Amino acid sequence: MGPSVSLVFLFYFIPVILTFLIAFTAMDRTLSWRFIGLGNFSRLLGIGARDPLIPRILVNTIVYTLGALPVTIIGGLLISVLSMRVRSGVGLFFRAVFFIPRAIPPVVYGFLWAWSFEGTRYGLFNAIRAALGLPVVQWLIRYPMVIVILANGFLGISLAMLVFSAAIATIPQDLTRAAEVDGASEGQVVRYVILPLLKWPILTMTVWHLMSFLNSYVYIMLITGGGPYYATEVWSLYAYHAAFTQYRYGYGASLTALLVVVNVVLLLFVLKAFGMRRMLARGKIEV
Amino acid sequence: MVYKRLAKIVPYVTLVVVALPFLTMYVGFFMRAFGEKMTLGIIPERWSLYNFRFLWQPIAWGLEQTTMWTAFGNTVFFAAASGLIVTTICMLAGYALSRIEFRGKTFFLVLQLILHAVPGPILLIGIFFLLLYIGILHRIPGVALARAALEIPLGIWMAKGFFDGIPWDVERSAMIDGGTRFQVWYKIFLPLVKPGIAAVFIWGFLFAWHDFIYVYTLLPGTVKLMSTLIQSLLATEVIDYGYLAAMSLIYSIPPLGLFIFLQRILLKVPIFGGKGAA
Amino acid sequence: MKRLLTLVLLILTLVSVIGAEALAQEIETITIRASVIGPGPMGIKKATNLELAAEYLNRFLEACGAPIRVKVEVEFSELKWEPFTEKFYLEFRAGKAPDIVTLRETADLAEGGYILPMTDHVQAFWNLHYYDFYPNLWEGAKWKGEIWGIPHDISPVGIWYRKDVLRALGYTDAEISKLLPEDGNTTLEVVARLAKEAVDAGLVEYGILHRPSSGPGLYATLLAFGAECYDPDKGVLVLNKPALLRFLQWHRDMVVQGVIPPAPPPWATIHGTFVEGKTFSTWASHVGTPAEWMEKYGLSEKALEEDLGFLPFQPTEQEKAKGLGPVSVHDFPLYFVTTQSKYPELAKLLIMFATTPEACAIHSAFTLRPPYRASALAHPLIKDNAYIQRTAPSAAAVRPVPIHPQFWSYQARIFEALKGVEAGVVTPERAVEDLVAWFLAEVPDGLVIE
Repeated sequence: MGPSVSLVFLFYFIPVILTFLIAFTAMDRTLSWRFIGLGNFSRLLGIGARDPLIPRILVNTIVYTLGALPVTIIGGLLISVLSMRVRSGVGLFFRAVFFIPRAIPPVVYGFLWAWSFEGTRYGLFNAIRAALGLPVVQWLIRYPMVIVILANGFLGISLAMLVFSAAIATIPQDLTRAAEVDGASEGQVVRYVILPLLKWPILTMTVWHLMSFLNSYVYIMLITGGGPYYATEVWSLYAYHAAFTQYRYGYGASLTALLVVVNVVLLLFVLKAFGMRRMLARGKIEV
Repeated sequence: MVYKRLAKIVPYVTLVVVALPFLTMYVGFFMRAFGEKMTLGIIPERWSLYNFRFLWQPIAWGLEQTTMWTAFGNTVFFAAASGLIVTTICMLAGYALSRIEFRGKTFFLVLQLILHAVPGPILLIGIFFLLLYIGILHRIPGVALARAALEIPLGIWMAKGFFDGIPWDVERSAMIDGGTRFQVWYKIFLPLVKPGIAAVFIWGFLFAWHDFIYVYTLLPGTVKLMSTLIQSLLATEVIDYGYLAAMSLIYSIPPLGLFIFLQRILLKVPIFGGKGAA
Repeated sequence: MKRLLTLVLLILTLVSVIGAEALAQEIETITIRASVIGPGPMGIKKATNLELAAEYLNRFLEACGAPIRVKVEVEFSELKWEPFTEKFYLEFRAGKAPDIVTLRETADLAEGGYILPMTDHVQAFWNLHYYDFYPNLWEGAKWKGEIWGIPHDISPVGIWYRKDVLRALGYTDAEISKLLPEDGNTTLEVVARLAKEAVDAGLVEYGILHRPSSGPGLYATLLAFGAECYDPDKGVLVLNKPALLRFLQWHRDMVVQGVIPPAPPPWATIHGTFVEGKTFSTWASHVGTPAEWMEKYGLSEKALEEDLGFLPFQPTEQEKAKGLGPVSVHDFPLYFVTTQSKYPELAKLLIMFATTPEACAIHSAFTLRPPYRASALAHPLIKDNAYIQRTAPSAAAVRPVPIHPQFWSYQARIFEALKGVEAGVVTPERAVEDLVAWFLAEVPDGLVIE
């Protein structure tokens, strides 16, 4: 326990404190610490009042996060349960297929989606359509949010499935055998035996991916760039654009700080909903 | 009878249907690795292994030459180190959180998640100075440590979950038999959570494997890593996609291979008694 | 005794002779560290030129009999600008910055005290060396009256078009030269008209393709519409409403007419379709791009000579009537000397030797980019390279990108508006209104022209 605490404290905690400090400065690329107090935050709120895009960005962020989360969790459950039902070789194959998004470099994954849904004849799906004699569809103009949700959601499946299937595999066989002996069908075994035992991993994945989706912008940036015309611009991407194209780290840090606060609030909310306290009351043996 | 037959096929069909679009995407993209030159279509005009020449030819690295294998080896070392650090620490911490009662447990767990809320690049600046003052700035182990620390929070949560799945009787009988807590952990629990170890290790390994921004900024330019190599292919506006696809393919094989390997070895048979091959 | 004495004397003499020799030959080697970026492999000569420069400098020092030699350690990076620049700033903070670095943001670096002014050096060697650098280039190197860096890599953006498509439409070479003259004095409307003809005739899939992301080409196009974005005298950003509206409206019209696609295709498609003749004109490339087309997309030299034409960006008829000429832009990098350098004067000399006509020609021959100094054109390396000779005038006309910290985020905003308008998701009027709102909120000292 000791080493882990100190390590995490050192490498994570201190930089986080530093970041919070940076939020109160006007640090730019020159990395000079010029403290301007609450200057950044007031600008932020000032922007909120004057920049007409903020409402749309908020909506986008909510839609995106609430869209991608089910894809990941439900998809992850689906794949892990199904793949463990079929022959183990076949199951492994499918798990590998869904693991691929994490195995390939992130930029390649983003590029893959951008190319697949490219609006010209040379994008993958349009090329297939063209070969079938169908006209080209401008996917990224007509359905940008859906594509972005799917892309990130499926990426999340890779981890969810990994964790869920590992968790399922640790369930002692006696439990499921007992249920089957009692006459339970496949579906019932899943519903009443497996899922309840997966409560903690599901909580972990939900919470983690919730924050991931709130904070991630890389894939959205690669696939739609936030477009067309801010249709897929989410908060984190907006913060990135504002901070990094202008290299105003102080401002960027303040936007991030706000995002962190939002993250924490949501986090606590979800934890309460899942009844985390009750789950933690399991340490029965004392040192 | 028909119902049983159908029920058996349904999982297969579902899996195939869901996986098909993705397989199409992957195959469509990686096919161009095997083409001679870039074309606009999906199917390459001429099949060749030209794009894989980096496997046997030296590559330019700045003004020097290097081979892909040097970069590969470095990356493996870095990722494995990071993965091991993550796994060790998470397994220890996960066990503690699962079994031992202490104050501030909830707070600690929640804190881990809060830390995840801050994105990496912002932390980069802070970490840079931190490593500088400690003095391990330009060395691989130092950066591996930093990288590992970023993944530990989730790893701890995952690990705890796995340990939770072990029934208490195991614990009780082990304690009755005597032995220190550490021995119990090592000899009894670890084998039982093998799938969890696999998951956590892959997790730590993967993020270090793909990491670019940390390794590039915190290590001197002479340290050769694959992620930098891939990034350099993307730097201009005239990207050689065949070459990129080829290199990405090779770059993806270790994580994928690791995944399959660990899954085979550490995952038990499917739990729906008797339905799968052993 | 006498023998011993002689021996000792002999040894002493030997030692002193050898010692004197050693002393006489004691040469100090000074190491200069340089950090150079491509981006991409094309820029490698910028790094090797520094090594070449060290060689010349050493020959010079040897001829002088000076007890100093220079050793240069160049780190060449093929990555993009962002990680490279970040790393530089961090290393500077850690006290480990190199002596020489190639970067672009003159103003930030100068204000932040990262680089040394070079004005005195440039003036000292003006008649010897710096006199024939194209005058426009110094604009990008100047900040608050001082020169801070040395230009060494220009790639003017412009319009590439396919002559073979025009020939297939029935135009003779003479007619083509009249419509689209080599010296680049025509109008945007002419190019658009020809593009439309090609699309309507079914000869090409795309009439005009522009960049899929913000960049110098965007700025050049804006200038072509008279939408200037920066006032150099006052040092503030400018938003020209009517010109921006014309700019956005024109693009929308082109999409409606089928000349420009509703979403800009990604780079691979732009390059691929142009090289294969499926696109009439690409506005997404610069003078040096053919080198990469030849290497990666299989463009032949013959095709480059006969079928491809290059023009700087053309003013619209309206702007031409006001006196605007052809426009080209590039945000070129500069060799800077950092304030952490222990031997700044030597570093400056090194840079000077790295920008000789020979070095310039080496870089030019490798990248097909035009030389940045006139005398390099006569150098044997590129004297007979028809392509370089043909495109050389573009370097004289190139304008640097404005030095203002918010310039690029302004451009990014305009580009989003452009994409939205082309996709038909927002009207040009609305887009301009949104831009004005952003401008007023984000750029407090900016000017809005109605």
